[in-house]
Amino acid sequence: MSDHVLTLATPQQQKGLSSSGRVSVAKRGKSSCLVAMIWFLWLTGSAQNASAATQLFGYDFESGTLASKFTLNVPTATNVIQSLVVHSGTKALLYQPVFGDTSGNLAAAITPSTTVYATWWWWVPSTIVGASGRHGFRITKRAGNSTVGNYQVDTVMDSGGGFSIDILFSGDGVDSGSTYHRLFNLPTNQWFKFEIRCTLNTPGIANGVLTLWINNVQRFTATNVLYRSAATGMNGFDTFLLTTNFDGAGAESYWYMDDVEVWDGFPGLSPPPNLRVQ
Amino acid sequence: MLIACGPSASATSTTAGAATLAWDAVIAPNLGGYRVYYGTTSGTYTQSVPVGDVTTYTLGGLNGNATYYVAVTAFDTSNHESAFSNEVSKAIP
Repeated sequence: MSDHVLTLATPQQQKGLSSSGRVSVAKRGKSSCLVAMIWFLWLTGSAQNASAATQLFGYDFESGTLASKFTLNVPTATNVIQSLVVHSGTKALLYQPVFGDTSGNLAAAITPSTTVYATWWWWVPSTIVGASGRHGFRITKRAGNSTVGNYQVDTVMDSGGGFSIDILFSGDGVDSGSTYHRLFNLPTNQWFKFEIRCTLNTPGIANGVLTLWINNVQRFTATNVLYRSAATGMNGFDTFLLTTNFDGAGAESYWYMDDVEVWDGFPGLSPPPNLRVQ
Repeated sequence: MLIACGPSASATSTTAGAATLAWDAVIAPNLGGYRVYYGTTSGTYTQSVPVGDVTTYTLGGLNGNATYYVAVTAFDTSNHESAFSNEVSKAIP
């Protein structure tokens, strides 16, 4: 018999945790649940510090199927949950499109939100071959039934070779993204923690925000992003997907992913309570 | 004197073109500060300003004959940012 218990741990220690050692949920005995909760509330001094963010998507790949989580498409047979390379727990995703597959993404709808915070763990093999525009992790606004998106943010592997990282986002307010921002190369054959935060701009005003962290270090930020124009001023990001145009160029074209979470705000920090006009 | 409780806004000392805000502190070991968001449409904040680790702030330069809607976020030392606080509004005469 098991239930849920509040516990403090790092992402390396347990499944389903975000950065900053935030409180999360792990399976433990029911009897310890109440004790742990009381301890936590006493430690923090007040229940008002509970996260106000809402989780829009979460998958640690420990149970269930890809089809049950990524419901906007039919996952291909080459995208599998496996146990060979995992970040935590016993399972993680292996993404390995077949040769010529430029559309075999894993896509899920999320509640539309003008701010999205996402975190995931990524492992890329040393055999990876660079190629232009290999999209990896995307937050977007669907265009009809297409996940190409009216506006989007992509974390992309580029042609720099190895685990090369670009950040791609729509910058003219009307399309899915046209400017690559080359960042750097990362070592292969190891896990990296990625986090992005995207806040949509006011339609037509270049005040959108995009920030990228890798292994808890901020590596990129922009505060003047024009994700959407006045004409395309729609509701928020409504889709999360893993990769398009990865293109399955060969046996080297695969990567692993684990512990994916998408929220409408950073879950590790509470908003200021009781705002008032003095 | 601040009103110590209750999430609803109250206006007691706002002057034309400015509004003084207050909020309760966020308890976090790695708190970096707060950011004030504001605009003239509820839920749509066209401007923001980082204000450091303070719990009061006077928002100046507001246009008259307009109502401003304001929310605040907290951010940590890694620049992670919380969700928005409750929203308050103030009509500037």
